[in-house]
Amino acid sequence: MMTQVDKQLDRETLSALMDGQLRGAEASAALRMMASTEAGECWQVYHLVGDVLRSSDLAGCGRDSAFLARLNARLQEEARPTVMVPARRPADARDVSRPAANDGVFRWKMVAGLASFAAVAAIGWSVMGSLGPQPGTGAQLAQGPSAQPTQVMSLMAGPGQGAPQVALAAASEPADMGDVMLRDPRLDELLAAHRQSAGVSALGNAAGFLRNATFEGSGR
Amino acid sequence: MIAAGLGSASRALPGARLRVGTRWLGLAALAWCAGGLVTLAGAQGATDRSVGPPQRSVAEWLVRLQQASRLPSYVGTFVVSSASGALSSARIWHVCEGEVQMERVEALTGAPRSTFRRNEAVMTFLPEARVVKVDQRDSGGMFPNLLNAGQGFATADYYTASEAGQGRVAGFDADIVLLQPRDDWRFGYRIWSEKRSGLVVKSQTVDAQGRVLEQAAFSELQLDAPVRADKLRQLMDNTEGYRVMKAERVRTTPESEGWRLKSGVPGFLPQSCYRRPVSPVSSVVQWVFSDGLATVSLFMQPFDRERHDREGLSGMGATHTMTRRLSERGGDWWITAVGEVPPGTLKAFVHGLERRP
Repeated sequence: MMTQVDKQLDRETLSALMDGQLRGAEASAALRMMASTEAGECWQVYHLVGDVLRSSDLAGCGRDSAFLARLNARLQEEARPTVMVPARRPADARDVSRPAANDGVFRWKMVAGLASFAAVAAIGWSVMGSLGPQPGTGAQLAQGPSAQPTQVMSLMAGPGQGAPQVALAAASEPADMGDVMLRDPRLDELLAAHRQSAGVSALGNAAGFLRNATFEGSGR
Repeated sequence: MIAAGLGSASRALPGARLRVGTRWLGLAALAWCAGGLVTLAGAQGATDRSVGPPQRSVAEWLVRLQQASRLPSYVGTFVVSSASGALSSARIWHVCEGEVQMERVEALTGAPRSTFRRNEAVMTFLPEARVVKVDQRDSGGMFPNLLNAGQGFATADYYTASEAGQGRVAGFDADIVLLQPRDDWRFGYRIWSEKRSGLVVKSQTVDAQGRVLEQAAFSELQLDAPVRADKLRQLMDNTEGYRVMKAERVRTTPESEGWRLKSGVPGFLPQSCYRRPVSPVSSVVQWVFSDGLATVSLFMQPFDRERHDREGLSGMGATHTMTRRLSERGGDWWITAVGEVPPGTLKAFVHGLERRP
């Protein structure tokens, strides 16, 4: 089956697939491409990047490969892996489940099964988010023991580390650095610890707490 | 009718409230009795505007602002913005029953989270991660004696208070007070204090050049709102479906951790010292200082070539951060200073820090 797969990894297409922008033949081609290990890794990394950009709390999960492996094993145990495909795939389900002329081809079922891995992995991702190592120990994220997050953190290192050291003069300039800067989880951790201690102020018990609770985690 | 009458009447008696408490109580009672005479009270209120806000000292202002956190209840939308352009907002519920203060802060921006506070106990629910963080704040007792006046507290030695007119915030009339630093070690604050209750309805952190570094305000506020403590308590205690994570920090002392400050910053007194884990293998010591309004945290941890690669200063809004490598006989350390203070103050702290011999 692998011989049929387009070995060339087209990241543009992968990204479009992730965003649910592909239909019909395009989607099918993209799904074929997804059969490669490289594409699978890329898919995971893209999702992790997206998650981390949305919320640093989601950076804590680095166990998807283990999860995927388990899922694969379980799916293989089940007699008809393709049956669950349409049910679990809200977006691309139509393309895959359309009563196609090539319905009987075994290869197609494998591709569809793979697509289901991808879809379920995407869902599983958020599930793992709640099971993995958690944000309270956010500093761990940076030194993540598993290979996957480490790789991503190094991906992120470019903008992430440059940003915190915003020149002092820039602080008073109304620049749009609001969300991008200070994406350094280690520093975030210390800032959070500081806020916790700075909650009490002579301005009133509530004032400092409200400020910090409102500010926390956003606008960094 | 009655409430309106009381509000206007008390506004007509500037400055009397704090200094002569009993007299004010008497007058308040009188105002209650005269609750029907809204027109008369209203007329007094009108003349009061030209007189200007009451003159209070720093100490009196701080007492007044602190007392406001004992307001029975309010609900509002709170907005915090910094000079860097970051904007955050949250929905706030506050209730005070006897000695129990409760708050619920529902973040409207950034990652969804709701924070509950019952006196010093704080719980932060993170629905995305299905985690709730449990922590204990430093006692609201950093200035426990502020309300029992007569205490000499340093804050008044380092700031001056001047009234700067009146304004309107979230539909409420407010006195504006400027708390200005007497030296360059701290920022100034412009506070909008609701006239009747004293509640801080808006605040700005201002640097020496008068630029606003950060501001926070209620965009909408309802005083004496129907907030029930038992309802908040229920929400706070319901951790079902969440993984509870207790803050792992232990109280320690700078002495036992081997740190001391050979030169401090005037007005900033040590408040507390903790050791908290940052990874399974290492931990960081946090030493907290405050002058009553501003807080500085010093974080000390062993130097790690991999992670600690950038010394320097950075700032966002009023919060500044300074990192520095400290090489001592016993080894290398990585110091991070964080605080709502000018960079120079952090520098003084970081350079004043040393290992105990």
